[in-house]
Amino acid sequence: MGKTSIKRMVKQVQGMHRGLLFITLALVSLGLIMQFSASGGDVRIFALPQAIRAMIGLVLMVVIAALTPVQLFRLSYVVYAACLGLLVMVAAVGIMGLGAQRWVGIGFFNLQPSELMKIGIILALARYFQGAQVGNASRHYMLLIVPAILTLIPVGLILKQPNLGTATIVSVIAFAMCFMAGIRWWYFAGAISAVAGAVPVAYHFLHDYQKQRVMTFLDPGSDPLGAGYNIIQSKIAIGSGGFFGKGLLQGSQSQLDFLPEKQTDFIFTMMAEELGFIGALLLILLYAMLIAFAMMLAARARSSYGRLLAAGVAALLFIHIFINMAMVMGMIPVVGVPLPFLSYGGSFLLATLMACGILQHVYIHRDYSFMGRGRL
Amino acid sequence: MMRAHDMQKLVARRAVIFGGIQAAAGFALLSRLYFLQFVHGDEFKMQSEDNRAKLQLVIPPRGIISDRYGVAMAMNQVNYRLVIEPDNRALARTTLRTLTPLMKLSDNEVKQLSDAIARRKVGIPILVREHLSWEEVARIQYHLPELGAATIDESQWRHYPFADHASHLLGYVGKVSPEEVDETQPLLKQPDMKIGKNGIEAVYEARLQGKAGAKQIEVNAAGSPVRELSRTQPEAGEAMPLTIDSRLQEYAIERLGEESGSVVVMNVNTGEVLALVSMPAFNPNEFSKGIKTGYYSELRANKRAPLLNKAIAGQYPPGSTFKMITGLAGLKSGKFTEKSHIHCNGTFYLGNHPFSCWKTEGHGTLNMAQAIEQSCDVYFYTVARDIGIEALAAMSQQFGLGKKSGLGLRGEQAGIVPSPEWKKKAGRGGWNPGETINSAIGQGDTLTTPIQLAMMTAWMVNGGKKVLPRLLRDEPTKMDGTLDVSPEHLAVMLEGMNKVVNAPRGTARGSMLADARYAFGGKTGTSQVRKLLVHGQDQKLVPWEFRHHALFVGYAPVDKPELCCSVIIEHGGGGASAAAPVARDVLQKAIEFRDNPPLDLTTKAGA
Repeated sequence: MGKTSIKRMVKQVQGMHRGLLFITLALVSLGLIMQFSASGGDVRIFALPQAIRAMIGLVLMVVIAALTPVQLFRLSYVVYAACLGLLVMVAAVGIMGLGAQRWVGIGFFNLQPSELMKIGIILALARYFQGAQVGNASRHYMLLIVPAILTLIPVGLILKQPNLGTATIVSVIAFAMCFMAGIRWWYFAGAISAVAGAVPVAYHFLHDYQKQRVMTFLDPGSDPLGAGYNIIQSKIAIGSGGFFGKGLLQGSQSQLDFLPEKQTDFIFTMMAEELGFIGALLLILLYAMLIAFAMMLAARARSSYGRLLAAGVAALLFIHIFINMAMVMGMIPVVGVPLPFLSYGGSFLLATLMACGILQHVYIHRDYSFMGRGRL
Repeated sequence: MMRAHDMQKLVARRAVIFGGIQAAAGFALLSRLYFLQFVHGDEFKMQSEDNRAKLQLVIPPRGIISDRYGVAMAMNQVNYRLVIEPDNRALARTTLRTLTPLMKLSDNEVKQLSDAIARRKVGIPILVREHLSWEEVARIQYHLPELGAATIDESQWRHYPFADHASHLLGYVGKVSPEEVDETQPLLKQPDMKIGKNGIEAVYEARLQGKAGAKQIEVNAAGSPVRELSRTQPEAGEAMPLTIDSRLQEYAIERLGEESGSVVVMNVNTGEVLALVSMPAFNPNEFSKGIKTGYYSELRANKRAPLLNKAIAGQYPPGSTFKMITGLAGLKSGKFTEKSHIHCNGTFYLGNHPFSCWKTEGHGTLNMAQAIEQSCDVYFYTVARDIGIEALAAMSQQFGLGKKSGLGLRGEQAGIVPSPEWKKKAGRGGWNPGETINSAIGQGDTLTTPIQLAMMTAWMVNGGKKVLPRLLRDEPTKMDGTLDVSPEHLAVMLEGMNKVVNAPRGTARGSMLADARYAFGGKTGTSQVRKLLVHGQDQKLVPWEFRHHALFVGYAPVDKPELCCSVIIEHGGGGASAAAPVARDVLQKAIEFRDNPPLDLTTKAGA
């Protein structure tokens, strides 16, 4: 790397969007504060490990922002392939946890490749659609088949772990990206009806705990101390937070263990209890600004690659936020989906910060077109 | 091929659709948040409070029971208990392993505790040992760092310093049984709550119990207490000083020695019971720690009936101690006077049926006081024959026989005053005139309790005031009117009872005290347990349970009666030989103790 390229990189990093950076840092900080509270005021339990991962994530974010479009473009399939390789590894030698085989140990921490695949699929699909003749009706079937293969291989591997939540999310991201790529309506109609037809079949193949979750959602009161208990306690926690909340570390529901997994899936519940409507609203606004920024880039970026990257990130953030919040507020069945920036867990935090890096990258290179570069 | 311009328009349109979906979803989330936090916020706040805080009653310290001078007879002590917190099962198991050699737990105990850990309910500690000694507490404290799940907790337990020397009187406390649970008294549902099961503890339960305090505890989802939020202190139960003089109680027991029986000492003017002894007895401290089946069945199997409070529930034929009643009934009938002389040649005939006097060679000619003095059976046979059973029963009832004394302790028996009416009711057919003769000397069906005999004696010597026995020091004297007996007649009985001890031919002459301060009177009694025993048979040759009961009722001082007592020694042989010396010594001590209250009276009575 020459002197000039370093200079260029510095310049690019300086070109990062300050507002976006601020939102990112604000969300990371909020996440660490909630992790501090989830540990009952002991920094060492959750907050410190999470902070270390956030640091790694932020470095990755800057690195991605600093790459040239061509570099990122060329890395796209590489990243996807690497993620796929890790998924295969998990299937082969992964670590069991919570009834599923999801982790792979790499030195000092256990990586969850299915989380990284969320970034992998975004990069791969954006890469695929760049230069694909979306407008060309005659090649339309190919436009659906390749993305379908790119999506279904990892989804299949993730489902086998089993991890229904992540598999759904990867599919939804892919789906949203295809939609934003401009694929015709009737293909979607076909895909939707295919999915609808597959639901009963899929239900049959669900694990018992997954079926139980669906049933519990349909009637949570039927089993107040069993599976429905979590949602009832979560609603009590959120509702009792009121306008100003009970104060950090003061949430009786959270601190007295009425909430399960409060540091991961139910972190929003804890926040709504301790920081009240004000805190929850602030969080939702930060998310809204982040997604709005991504959507703006998804419409505005010059290259299709850039637009779809932004759209993918928007879909990633949106689907996590929606499923997680709707779940803890009792609007949809219990699906184990983490909340971006807030939930404890290194792999997903890395993925989220990489997504922010992608957004910065797209923002910096919003006017880059890949025109005249021929085959890349 | 689509042109770039069209493509851009398509992408923009789709971005609007996608953005619209996101905005709608965001709106749905915010609406739900509003619904939960504002519309239903108050409900959820209440539910979270319910989750968080549990109200727990605090058991009040039980009232102290003391003797008349404030010497504690039932008190509260701290019970140090070793428990294992089972929340973390693995930790509980390693703790148990460390404890096993430390506390020398038996294999059986270890097995039971391991089972308890396996079946554990989070938040409910498992009891390993209680009533730890100081040495044990210290040893555990020293090793506490290695005993992750073990803690020492403190609870109160009831201690009876007099052990089996006042157990029938005081009773004991025990766990609340399901029948005793009263929905209006939540305190009774506390797992550590103990209530009075017998004696004073049971009778005055309401006053001894005190008022429950309450503490609000913050609990976690598992129900384990996290911290105390607030507390209202319990109100201790009422202190209950008794009329008992614990020194006299101890002395009477010492004096009874190995015998089985009862001693009741009572103030004839105030009804205060100074000693209420029933031996053998049980150790209420063992019961307070939780009744062990071995100990209990041992007590039940003992033929000397240690579980029975003989002073109020032991029913004995009064024997010759009843002769004053027969005498008074005779005087009251007008058919006899103090000067009525009757000749005793050793045998009395009712028709052809002979009734012998205990003195087979006969007493010769006696007046009434002499008949009491020498306990002549023939004299009172004659009186009874002439006045009839109805007059006898009426006089018995005047003296409170056949009726509970009203002392209030559980299990008191009424005794039996036989009469034709009673016999008919009992379904035992018609009255046999011979029974009247037997009744005259307190045999036959007549049954009395030691407390009744003490009360009878009190009324006999206090001028006829029907003072009721009582056990609470600070209660006023209770009277049930006066006897419908003339003072002159009572004076005849007093003269007779004086002579029993202090006249040369008195049956208890051997127990006479030279010191005028302690001079006492009374009446011996020897009641048959089994009929058809040959008079004069050496009681020592008869199996214990067939020997006569030895009785004595007495009073002192003889010139100005103030204290009375009844002594019954079960199967003790003769009243004069076995019971009278005990009564003598107990009455003497009662007077000594009355004149010499404990030195530290003021400090103890104030407590």
